[in-house]
This record gives sequence, C-alpha cells and structure tokens, in this order.
Amino acid sequence: MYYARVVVGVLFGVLVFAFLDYTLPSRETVRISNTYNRLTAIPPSAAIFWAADSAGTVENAQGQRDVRFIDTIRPNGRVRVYRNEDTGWVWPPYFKYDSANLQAEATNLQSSAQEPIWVSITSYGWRMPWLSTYPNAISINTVSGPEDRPVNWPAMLICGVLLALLVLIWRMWAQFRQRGLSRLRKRT
Amino acid sequence: MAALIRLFLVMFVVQLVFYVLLRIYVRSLRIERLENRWDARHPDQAGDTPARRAFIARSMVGFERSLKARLTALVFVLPTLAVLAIVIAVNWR
Repeated sequence: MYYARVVVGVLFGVLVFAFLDYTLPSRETVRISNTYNRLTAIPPSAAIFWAADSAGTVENAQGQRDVRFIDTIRPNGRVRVYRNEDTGWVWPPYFKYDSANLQAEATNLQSSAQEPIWVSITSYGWRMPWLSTYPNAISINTVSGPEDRPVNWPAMLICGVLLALLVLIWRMWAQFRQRGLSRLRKRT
Repeated sequence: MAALIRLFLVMFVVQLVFYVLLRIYVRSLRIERLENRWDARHPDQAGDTPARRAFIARSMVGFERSLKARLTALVFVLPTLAVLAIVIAVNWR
C-alpha cells in the first residue's frame, strides 16, 4: 500500500509539472528564418495540442487547417518551429486573437544568417516531431543579441499566484479539518 | 462571442464556489479568535458554554459589514482584472 501511494504521488507530481511546463509561457532567443502558412492535417490523437475548434479556426472537408508557421534558428544552430494560432477565449487562457498581426511582425523580422536579427519569442507548448505538435508563439520582441535572454517573469508571476492560492486552500482545508462547519456544529 | 459568454459563465461559477468557501473560512477564523478571547477572559466559563455562545453571537452581528468580510468580494473582481491584463499584454504590445 505504501509503495502504491508513492507511485501515485510521483505520477501526480510529474503530471502537474508537465501540465505547467506545457501551459506556462516560455521564452527563447531565436532568429526567424521563414514564415508561411500550410494546409495541415490534425490527427485526432494530437488534437489537444492544437487550437480548439471554437477559437475561430476553419477546417476543410478533409479536416485540414490552414495554419501559420514561423521557422526559427536558435543561437546553437538547432531549429525551432512555431505555429501561430489564435487561442480565443478558451484553453489555454492566453486570449490571443492577433495571430495575423504576429505573423506580420515575424515576417518583418525575418533575417539571414549573415545579418541576423535576434528576437525573443514567448510561446507555450511542446515541439514533438512524432506527434506533429508545435509550440504556439504568443509575442515577439527584438533583443540585442543571441546572448540576451529576457527574464520569463510572466511564468514566475503565475507560479507565485498559484503557490499563494495553494497555501490559501491548504489553510482553508486545515481550518475545516480542525473546526468543521461552525454553523452546523452550533445546532447540535 | 459564444466562447466569451461561456468563459464568463464558467468563471462566475468557479468564483461563486470559491467565494462561499472563503466566507466560511473567514467566519470560522473570526469565531475561533472570539472563542479564544472569551476563554482567556473568563477561565471559569471556558469551553462551549451558553455564555460564550451568546458572546460570540453578539460579536458576530456586524461581521458582514467589516472590511475583511467585504474584501472577500474581490474574488469576483481579481480574476476579471487578470483576464483583462492578459488580453492587453498578449494583443496590444
């Protein structure tokens, strides 16, 4: 029984970490090499890694979507491909509906290896080639060079708020365990 | 538009549940403090006595109008402000 509880606890911890890692914004200093849109088939198995249907995306009869992509190169030479989709008013709560503007910005900041323009892209999500999933770009800011890595304060702020909420809920639960519902107790 | 309405409905339900729980918590903290105060003042009448119950009922009369009780209504304000802040930060930068 003890080992079962440890295994369930560790699995729960990994799940929470993975959820936060996927949902919270992350920042990466990159150079944009190309921007384009391409008809993309979204398999049902990977549908949760793409924008929800109600976010304003349109699919054709074959279930394909016209998705905007941003190709980038990291300072170490490895590539990173972003998708650029609206999240709308649904999960995850980025409330992004300016993907056309973001694509225009990205195209404007496109640069060659000889004359690189380094930018910091804020995004959420994972690149998993075997599932064809891409991180969703949220915003683009120019930075001074490949060494410049802006602090990811939005993720820190959200983690802080979540931690405070967790402490509050823990205190509330402890108070309930200790005293129960005082109104119900008064009647007895 | 339907998604926006759904978002606010879901948010409102979550806020309402949290508001009720928070009110119970804040009330419970206040009652506990009053009980301890009574027990310290009247060691001869400590415990769940009728006199202490009357004292607590008397002291809790104005609780709904206290600052702490009113601040719990921020549960309905802060999440909406956070959504507004995210919308502005993501779409107008």
